[in-house]
Amino acid sequence: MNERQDEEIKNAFRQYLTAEIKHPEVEKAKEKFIQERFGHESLIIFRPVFYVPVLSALFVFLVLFPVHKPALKPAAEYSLKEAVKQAVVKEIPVKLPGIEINVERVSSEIGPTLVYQKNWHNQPLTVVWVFTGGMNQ
Amino acid sequence: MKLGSKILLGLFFCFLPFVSTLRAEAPVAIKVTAISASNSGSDFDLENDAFRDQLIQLFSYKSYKQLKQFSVRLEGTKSETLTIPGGYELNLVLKAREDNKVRLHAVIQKEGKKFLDTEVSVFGAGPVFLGGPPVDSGNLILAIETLG
Repeated sequence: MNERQDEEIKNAFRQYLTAEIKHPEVEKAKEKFIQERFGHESLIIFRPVFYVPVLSALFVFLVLFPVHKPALKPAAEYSLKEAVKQAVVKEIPVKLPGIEINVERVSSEIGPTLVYQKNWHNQPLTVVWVFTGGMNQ
Repeated sequence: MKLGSKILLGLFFCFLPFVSTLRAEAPVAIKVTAISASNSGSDFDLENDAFRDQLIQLFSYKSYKQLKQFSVRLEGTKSETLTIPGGYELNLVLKAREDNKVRLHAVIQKEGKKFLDTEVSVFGAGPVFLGGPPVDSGNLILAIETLG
């Protein structure tokens, strides 16, 4: 066998093997084998290589910039004076949790009005107030 | 169901709205206490001691002085007018009555101007305080209660 024949045989094998490997049936069989043997490949977000750095970065962010929630005082605990200071002046009754509204309507020709209700010793205390322009108030 | 029973049932539902109307027209006794609240002095001059704790809970004035006390009977749609110290008038009209709750239309006015015009429900145990108009060196507070 001379050198030229040897080269032709090599080429024929190469072409045959390449065609064999790229054959659709072979590809399908390989994928089926991989799935049966090793299961589905997990998404990248579920891999430690992804979520460990992300969670670490989130933790560092929350440590550096903590979220501050405003401390809310229960509405029923406000005194009338506190309510006035906060300019809670309304024409309609203020709905407070656990207290039935006793005021159907309120109006004034003099100034703004305030309705304030409070449960005290199981008694519903109600205040209907008119602001007369700062005089004595 | 027999025809007679149906007629009786129909008549019952026809007259049902009037039953509540009749209840609303039953007379109701109301007590009104006029109080002057101010920050001058530190006196509590009130006949009803229960008001003391309630006023402290609701207001921040230093002094409370009882000006006058009224008892009125409200009936039907008839308006009752009380002369309040400071030149004010309080007009009261009974709007409805259900069990322990009385709904009133109350107007505080002076020289034709309505200082406060409101419709409130008064429970037997819990007074309603109407207030704000200036009187003496403080503010007028009207405590409205039902007397059963």
